[in-house]
Amino acid sequence: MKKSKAGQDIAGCIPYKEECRGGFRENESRVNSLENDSRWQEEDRLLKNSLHNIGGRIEASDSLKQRIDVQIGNRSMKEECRMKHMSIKKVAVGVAAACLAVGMAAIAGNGLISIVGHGSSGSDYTKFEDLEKAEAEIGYSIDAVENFSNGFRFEGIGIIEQAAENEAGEKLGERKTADLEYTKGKDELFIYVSKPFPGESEASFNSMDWDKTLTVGDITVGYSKDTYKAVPPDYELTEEDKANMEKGHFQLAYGTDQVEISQLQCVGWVKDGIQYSMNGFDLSQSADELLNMAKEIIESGAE
Amino acid sequence: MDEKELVQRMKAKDKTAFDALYEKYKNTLLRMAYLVSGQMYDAEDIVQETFVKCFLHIGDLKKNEGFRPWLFQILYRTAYAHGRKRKREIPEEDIAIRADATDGVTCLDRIIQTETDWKVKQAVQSLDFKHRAVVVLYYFNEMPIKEIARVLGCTEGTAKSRLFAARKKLKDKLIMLEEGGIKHEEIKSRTRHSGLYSL
Repeated sequence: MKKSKAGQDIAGCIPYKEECRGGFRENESRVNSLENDSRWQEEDRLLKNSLHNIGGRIEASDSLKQRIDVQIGNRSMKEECRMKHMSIKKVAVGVAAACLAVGMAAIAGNGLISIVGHGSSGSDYTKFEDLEKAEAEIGYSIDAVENFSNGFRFEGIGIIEQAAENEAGEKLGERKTADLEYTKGKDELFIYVSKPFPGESEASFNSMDWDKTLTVGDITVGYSKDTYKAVPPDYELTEEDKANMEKGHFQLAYGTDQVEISQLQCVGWVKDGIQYSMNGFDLSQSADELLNMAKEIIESGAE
Repeated sequence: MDEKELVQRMKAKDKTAFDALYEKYKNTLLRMAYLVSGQMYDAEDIVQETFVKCFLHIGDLKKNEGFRPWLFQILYRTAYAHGRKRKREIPEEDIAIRADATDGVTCLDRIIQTETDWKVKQAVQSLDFKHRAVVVLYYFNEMPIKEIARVLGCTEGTAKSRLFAARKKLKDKLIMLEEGGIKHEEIKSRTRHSGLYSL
C-alpha cells in the first residue's frame, strides 16, 4: 500500500461516497486507480515540497508579538471588568449598555463603539446619607429616594468609571457614573445615573423604541422589556439569536460560564442633561409600577 | 519544560509560559495562515487574533495535551471568519496598499521563488476555504486525518472527503497551469508594474 509524504495511508484515508455519483464499490476502485497513478505520487510530493518552500521563507516579525501583547493587555482588562460585573453584581456594564445603547448609537458617527467600565464589585457607599459624597465624587447632583412607596429599599451606591473608545481603542471621553442599588425581597433594582460622553446626543435617548412611556412634567419616561442572554466568551450566535437581534429587544453579553437567559426590564429618562437608567432582571413588577417608581425619583428632585 | 507544563502555567496566567508557547508556534501558525489566506497582512492579523484568543480562553482547554490541535482550531476558525469579514470590508484596490505596509515578508519574489511553487500556490488559492484548509493541514503540517478532523471540527469521513476533492481539483488546476496557464514570469512582471501582490 502506498504511503503519502505525510505518512498517511492515502488509499485508506480518502473516502469516495460523498464525491462520486456511483456506488461505494465503484468509487473505491476509482480512488484506488487514482492512487496507483504515478502522477498522484508525483503531485503529492510536489504539493508538499512547494508548500514547505513557500511557508519556510516566512518568519514572524518582532512587531507581531508587540501587537499581540498590546491586544492581550487591552482585552484582558475589558474581560476582567465584564466578568466582575457579570458574576458578582449580576448587573453588568452590558446592562447599562442595554439602556444606554441609544447613547452609543448617537455618537457612533464619531467612531465610538464601546464603553469600558471600571468599578468596585461592592457598594462604595452603603448609607443613603452618603449620597452627597457620591455626588461630589461623580461631580454632579442626582435625584434619588431612600425608599420607594412599593417597598423597594436603598442598599448602596457604587461609583463606576467609564471610558468611551473607538474601534482603534482610542479614548474618546471619560466619565463617572453612580450605580444605586435597591432591593425588595428577591428583586434587585439598579439605577445607573450618568452624564453623556462628549458628542453624545440627548435627543437620541429620548427617541428610543420604548414599549411604553409616561410623561412627568416635561420629561418623558420610557419603559422596555428585553430578553437578555449572557453567554460564554467563545459562544457562537445561533440563527435564532440573529433573528431575535434583527427584531430588536434582544441583548447579548459575553462573559458568563454558561448560557443564562433573563428578562431585563428597563426604564430610562433624561433630566437636566443627566441620564437615568433603571434596570432589573426577572422582576415581579409591572411596567406601570416601574414607571411610577421613576416618577417618584423625578418628583424627589422637585422637592 | 514540556508543552503540557507550559499550558498549565499559562492557565494560571503566567505570561512567560505564553511567551514560550508563542516562540514555539509563531512561525508555524504564520505559515499556515499565509498558505490559507494567501496574503501576508491577513496572515499576521489571523495569527495575532489566534494568540490573543489562546491567551484569553486557555481556561476552556480541558486537556493540556490537546493544546496543539486546539490552537490550530482557533487559527482556522479565525482565518475563516477573517476571510468572510475581509470580503465585506476591504475594497480590492486597498489590498495592494495594505500589502506594501506590512513589515513581514510580503514580496512575491521572496516568497515564491520557482515557477512550480507559484503554480502550487495558484492551485491552492483557487480552492475554497474548506478544501484549502485540509490541503495545508495534510501537506504542510503533515497531520493525520484524525487530527485534521479534530482541528476542522468535522468527522474523519468529511475530512477524507474534502482531501480527496481538494486533490482532484488541485490536479486539474495544475494540469491547466502546466498546459495553458499564464507563465509565472509574465505575471511577476505585470505584478511589479501594478504593485499588486495578490495573484
